[in-house]
Amino acid sequence: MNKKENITPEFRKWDNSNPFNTPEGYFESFEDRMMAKIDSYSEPIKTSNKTKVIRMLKPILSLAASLVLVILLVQYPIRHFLLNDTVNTEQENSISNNSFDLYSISLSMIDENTLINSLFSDDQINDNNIDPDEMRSYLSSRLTEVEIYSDFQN
Amino acid sequence: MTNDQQILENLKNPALKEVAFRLLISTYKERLYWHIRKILLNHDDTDDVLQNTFIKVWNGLDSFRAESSLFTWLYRIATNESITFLNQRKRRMISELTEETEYLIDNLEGDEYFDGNEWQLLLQKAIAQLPEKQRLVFNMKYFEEIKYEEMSKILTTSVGALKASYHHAVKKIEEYVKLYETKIET
Repeated sequence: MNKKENITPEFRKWDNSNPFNTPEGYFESFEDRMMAKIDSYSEPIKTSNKTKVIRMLKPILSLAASLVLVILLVQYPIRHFLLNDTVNTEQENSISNNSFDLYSISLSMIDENTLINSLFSDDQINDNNIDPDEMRSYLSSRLTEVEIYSDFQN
Repeated sequence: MTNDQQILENLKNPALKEVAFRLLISTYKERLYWHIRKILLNHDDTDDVLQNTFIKVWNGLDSFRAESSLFTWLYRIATNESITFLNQRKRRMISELTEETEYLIDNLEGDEYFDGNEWQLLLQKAIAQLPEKQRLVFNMKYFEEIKYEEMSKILTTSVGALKASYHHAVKKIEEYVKLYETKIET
């Protein structure tokens, strides 16, 4: 047998009792504490696919949001302080031009006579003057639209 | 069928798993506690590591292979957890310019659950000076009286290397004790 294994050093002669201690009842309640801890660890954490997708997209979304924020922060002072006057003048010009264009187009499409007729015409359809017999005969007739129109003209 | 075999058999059955695990804790809690306590010296740290050890065991039950004994597997996990814990502390200590030995001694002296006399304190201080591997081997051999063959499986080190480590550890402890025992006697 190897001599190294049978070393009996000086300190072997000292009191070899366990100098360490534990709190009272430590081992008695250990299983209960341990099983409670294991139960809490074993509970499955339910994560839906939606949550997973959100978690995956979160960094991209936050990056995009920060970019938008930076752009807005840069654009706001440029628009409102540096280009304010220029933009306002341009807007006024464009609005007045558009209004003039629309006005002139409308005028070109309506001639004077049509306008006067539409304003002062007495031709109004009076529903009360329609004779029921006439209506019935009209509906029962097999006239084409052209014939009906010529009848009315006559 | 031995107690360990019965536990392992029941752990495979979902209906008996929790009961079997409770029995496993009852069987090994004290041995593992003292094994960890000799490495970390402090009760609070030991309690944390012991609980982590059993959680690792519970989570790793499916990966346990029957070719190694339950005892060896549990001791290996407990040892690794203790070393990991010490290494985590070591990383913090570097910033605080404190040595691991100093940390262990402070831990021991500040522990209200150490009842040893001055000789026992001197021995623990001497052990704390040892390199990690020698400290593990010395504790397992001297206090826990684990056979080299078992120790070899737990620490995945050859029996020859373990014997050499123990021999070096004893020499260093003797030198330390000779140096400091005169202070106690005077």
